[in-house]
Amino acid sequence: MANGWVNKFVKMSREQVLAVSKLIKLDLSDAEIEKFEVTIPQTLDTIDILKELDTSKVVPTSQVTGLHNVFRDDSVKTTLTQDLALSNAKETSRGLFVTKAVFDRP
Amino acid sequence: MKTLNEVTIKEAIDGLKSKAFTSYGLTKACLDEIKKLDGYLKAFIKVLEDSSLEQAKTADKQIEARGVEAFDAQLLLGIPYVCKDNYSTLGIETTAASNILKGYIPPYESTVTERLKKSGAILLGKTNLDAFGHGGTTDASDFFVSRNPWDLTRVPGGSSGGSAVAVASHLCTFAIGSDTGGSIRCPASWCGVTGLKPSYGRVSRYGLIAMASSTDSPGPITKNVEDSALLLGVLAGHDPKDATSSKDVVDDYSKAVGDFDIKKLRIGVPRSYFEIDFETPEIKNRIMEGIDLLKKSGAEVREIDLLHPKYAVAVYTVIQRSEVSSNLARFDGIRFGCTRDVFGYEAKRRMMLGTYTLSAGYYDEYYAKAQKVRTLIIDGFNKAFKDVDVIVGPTLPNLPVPIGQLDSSPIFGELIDMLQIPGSMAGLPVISVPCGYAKGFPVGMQIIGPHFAEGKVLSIAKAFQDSTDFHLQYPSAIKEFK
Repeated sequence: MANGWVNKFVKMSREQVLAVSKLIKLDLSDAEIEKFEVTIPQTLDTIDILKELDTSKVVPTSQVTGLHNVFRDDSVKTTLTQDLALSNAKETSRGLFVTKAVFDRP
Repeated sequence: MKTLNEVTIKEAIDGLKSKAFTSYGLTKACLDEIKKLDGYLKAFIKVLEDSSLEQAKTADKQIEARGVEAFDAQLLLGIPYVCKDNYSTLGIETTAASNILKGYIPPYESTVTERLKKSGAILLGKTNLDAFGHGGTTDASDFFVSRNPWDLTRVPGGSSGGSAVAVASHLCTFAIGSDTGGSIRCPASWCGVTGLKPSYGRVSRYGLIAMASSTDSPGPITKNVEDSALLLGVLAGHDPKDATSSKDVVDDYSKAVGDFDIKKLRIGVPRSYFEIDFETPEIKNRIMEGIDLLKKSGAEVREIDLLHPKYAVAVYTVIQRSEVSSNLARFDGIRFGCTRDVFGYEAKRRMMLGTYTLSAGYYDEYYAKAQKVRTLIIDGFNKAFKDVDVIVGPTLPNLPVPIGQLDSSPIFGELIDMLQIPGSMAGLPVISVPCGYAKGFPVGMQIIGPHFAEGKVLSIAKAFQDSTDFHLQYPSAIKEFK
């Protein structure tokens, strides 16, 4: 397989699993990590059959509608009110969402 | 003699118009049946008793005041339905059966439920599903497992399990489900009811909690094909809020199923759909008997070649999980919902694989390859539809699985859905109709049509139902409560 990261029937390493979970901000338990070490390669193995098909001259399909460049009028529409938009937030402040800080203070 | 909760949409409209019964009576009958049976069946996440009875009273007043004319503008006036809990309903908790969305109150309405509301339908409750639609059993709900009304120790199928159970057990007049890789057809088949997955783009996805955005298809689960046709007429059509919804004219589906001649129709039977492993040969036999029946009615049957469905399973596994990982990225616990540590194992599993196949270095090998094979699947269907009008085959290769005995395969759900996934990848309209029994469980036959040929698919299904009574049978496991 590509880059030799995962080979047939070979478990993924803990580091490899954590590298993926970091990309999607998932904190995994040790039990989950151990499961993924096995099930991700297993699943990739079942996908391997796609290699049996020659697709060298095939164009990829990302959607099936046949629609292209769907536009709408550039006009102001009614949107959610600020109260409604905030209505499901766990924490708000002065009409805004509260998020974790992304920058460290010097 | 049918009780009120057992009537079809068509019968409900006729009964309300002729004042044989009231919307209040109809709605109350369904609520009473829910009280009687849902403790066993576990179809509902939420029952909206007070609001549905209030709406029924209002509907009755409108019917009293305007007579049959009240139905001109509101086709489904006063008819109670249930909706899978992955449709956003304004002001009504919507969970997608996930812990992460527990307590979420949507500030807007999905287009599907909006259209039903405008048509006068009454929302009785929200039904159980595999969390976020991730599964084919309803066993993967974060809350509880729904039960099959033909055997309470077995799963109903999924992911629209609660909706199929509610229709099969007559807890409502009709239900709404959603189908990404078989999630309407699978539970419809295992519960012995009719499930329609419309073409991708025929019904708006706006407000449907996204699973795999390139195949998510909202659709009805009903007591017969006639009702599916009628409902599709309400649900289908362009929606500016969903850029992938089609502007193509919506056919008059009820008319189409009414004046249809099955003679001269060419039915394709894909050899590869019968070459896979079936749990019991009885399933195959029921489908062959169903095809024979269509043949006897005058249709011409031809064997055709389609790409083996195992390739569609592999394509779907990559594409669906990639889209899931992208769609679930929005759950940050800041604007709505809980934090990401609350995700269930199944959601994590799909996100992990999807992220892996989308990540740098693996994209070409998995995602791009899957997209190319997706083209081959579509080309295969297009070629087949030059020779045949529709394609007919089994909906599922196996029977409802006993609760707690799911296979440990990491793609178990996809393997169950093997025969349904090709139609999903190509965005085609497919209906599953009951076509007999294997070991006492309902067997579903699916009819696949060309893109936007819902009229044709529904017509053939209707012709089939006109000559069979499988859709009229009461589920065996709840007969004693009748």
